[in-house]
Amino acid sequence: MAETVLRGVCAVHPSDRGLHYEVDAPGPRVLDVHFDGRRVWSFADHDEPVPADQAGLAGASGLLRFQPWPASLVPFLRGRVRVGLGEVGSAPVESVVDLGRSAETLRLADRYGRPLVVNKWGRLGHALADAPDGLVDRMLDSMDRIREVLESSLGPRVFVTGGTLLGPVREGGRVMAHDDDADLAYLSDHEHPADVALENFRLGRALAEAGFEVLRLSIGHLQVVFDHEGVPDHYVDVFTGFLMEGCWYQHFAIRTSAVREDLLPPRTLLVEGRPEPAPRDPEFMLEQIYGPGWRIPDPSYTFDVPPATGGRFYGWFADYNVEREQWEDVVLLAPDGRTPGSRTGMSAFARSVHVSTPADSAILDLGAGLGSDAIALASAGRTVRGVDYSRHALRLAREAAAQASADVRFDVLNLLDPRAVIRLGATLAAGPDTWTVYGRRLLNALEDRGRDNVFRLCAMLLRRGTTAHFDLVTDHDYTGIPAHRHLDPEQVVEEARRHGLELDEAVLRTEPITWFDAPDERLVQTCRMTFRRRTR
Amino acid sequence: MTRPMDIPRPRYLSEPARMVRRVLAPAALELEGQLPAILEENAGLRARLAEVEGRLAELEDRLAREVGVLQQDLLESRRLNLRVAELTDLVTELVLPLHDREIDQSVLVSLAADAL
Repeated sequence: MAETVLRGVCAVHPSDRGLHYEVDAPGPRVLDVHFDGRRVWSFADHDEPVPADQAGLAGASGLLRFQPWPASLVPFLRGRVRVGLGEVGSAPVESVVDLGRSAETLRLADRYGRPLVVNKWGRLGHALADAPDGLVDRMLDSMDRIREVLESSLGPRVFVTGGTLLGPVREGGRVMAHDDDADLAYLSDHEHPADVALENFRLGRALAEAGFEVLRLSIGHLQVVFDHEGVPDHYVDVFTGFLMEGCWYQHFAIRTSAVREDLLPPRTLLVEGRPEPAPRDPEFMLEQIYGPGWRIPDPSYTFDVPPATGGRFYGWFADYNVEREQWEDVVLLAPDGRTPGSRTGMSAFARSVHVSTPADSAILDLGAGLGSDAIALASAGRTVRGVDYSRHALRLAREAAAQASADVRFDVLNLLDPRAVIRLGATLAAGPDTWTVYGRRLLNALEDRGRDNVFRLCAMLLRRGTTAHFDLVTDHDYTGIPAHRHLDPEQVVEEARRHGLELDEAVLRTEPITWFDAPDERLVQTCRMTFRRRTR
Repeated sequence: MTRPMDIPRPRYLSEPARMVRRVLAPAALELEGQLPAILEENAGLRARLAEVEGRLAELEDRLAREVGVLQQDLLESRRLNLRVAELTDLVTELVLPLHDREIDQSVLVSLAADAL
């Protein structure tokens, strides 16, 4: 009798809707999806029957399953591709399909041509498996240099974490193929969240002074980014931890009982042949991050941080990165380098501000993005300064300004950080220019902390005769903007009033709007609001 | 749904059945006599239960509202830590260095300790 070999997946039938596939026995199993032989996504198989609205595949010989494509992948599903599906580490079964009614070769890469995968956050990112030669060494070199800066301030309280701990512990000293970065953590000697935050500000400054480009995602998460030959190359994360009253808080997933001796002093772990510091009990830390199943490879793993843990970190450590990555994806993931909304000339809103404000007042463009309005206003003769929290967007804005021979200064500035905002306000207020403040599509993109900073900045800059101009989406049925970002004009007026501003004019308009994850323009009602400083 | 006790019995069977029950199960007749009181008590208990359930629902609503308010307060309290850190950083890194070359001694005097 012939021996039956259980392969898990017997057949795969990809379509625009998703993956129908057949398995020879119920799971559980983690499945890798390959495009043209390259892993692009993983998901956990399930035993649920094919939904009624996805039925209709005849001739299946095994147990039929269905998995829809992840939303982040859908915009790229156009062209011919060889789709493979199989259990992690096993040979996949394959099927060639033309997706999106196109027979061109499917391209899943960012604007720099770097291959993309669906990461553990469900978003498109990169994987070390696809990295060019030398990237892993460059990344670990960067990690070592960052660690030295941190240790010079903290002492031996720094260790590898996340994937840089999991891979080497589980896979014999190797980084994981589906990982995309290097991760460091430290255990602060402070116990009070405010002291921990102050220390983290100092560490960020020390890294910047050492020449690194540092992004602040939160108090608990610094991200140091590196280019190579003019292209984004790799990044190293630095996560904050501290002990308070017998509880260990390690951003962003850990809140558990622990003592210093569970973590320090660090022990040595070989990472790709390099001796690196690891927490004293690596298995304890891995279980806290990834749960008791951390020993079993699962590229589909997603974090499930309890609200009580996430709430504490959000309150103490904030989130300075709100939706930054989604906005940057508009730039980074634009197919073939085409970026929606770039080089569109002066918007109607900018034109109305240009004609209604004193020609000799400089314009501060908050959330300048790709710089279309800033460049157009500068070309019209205005002095313009643009700020945005996306370095990728401003890189394109600077290129566009150079092409247009427009004299605009663009600075990366995070409006969620009051320190940066107040520093900007003090700098501009001390200069000779009078300022008109302009923020198009800004207020709906900011959480309350950010709007408070914006109105504080206006209060610092506005003088008699100068004004601040913002628009607001008043059509709350517009789903492009997340529900919690919708605002009422009355709420905005009240927030501005607290900073000594009063509404000068509010004009309802109907305008085409796009947003990240909603690139198709839709006509929606907006309200253009003009504020001036309240006179005593 | 029809319960067994709701099924109408033929009248000609009622009296013989009663006699048999009196002989074989006198306690059942006593219990039957108590039935109206038990039903009345049960109705009272059900009414009380409905009242308690209503009150519980009100309390649950109130609890959910108050937990929501407390969570907001807690978030604000935690955010205050961040605010303190941000402003302390701003003062130590920006405000003090800006002024350290031209400190007005009279201002320092005005900031003298208010108590010993």
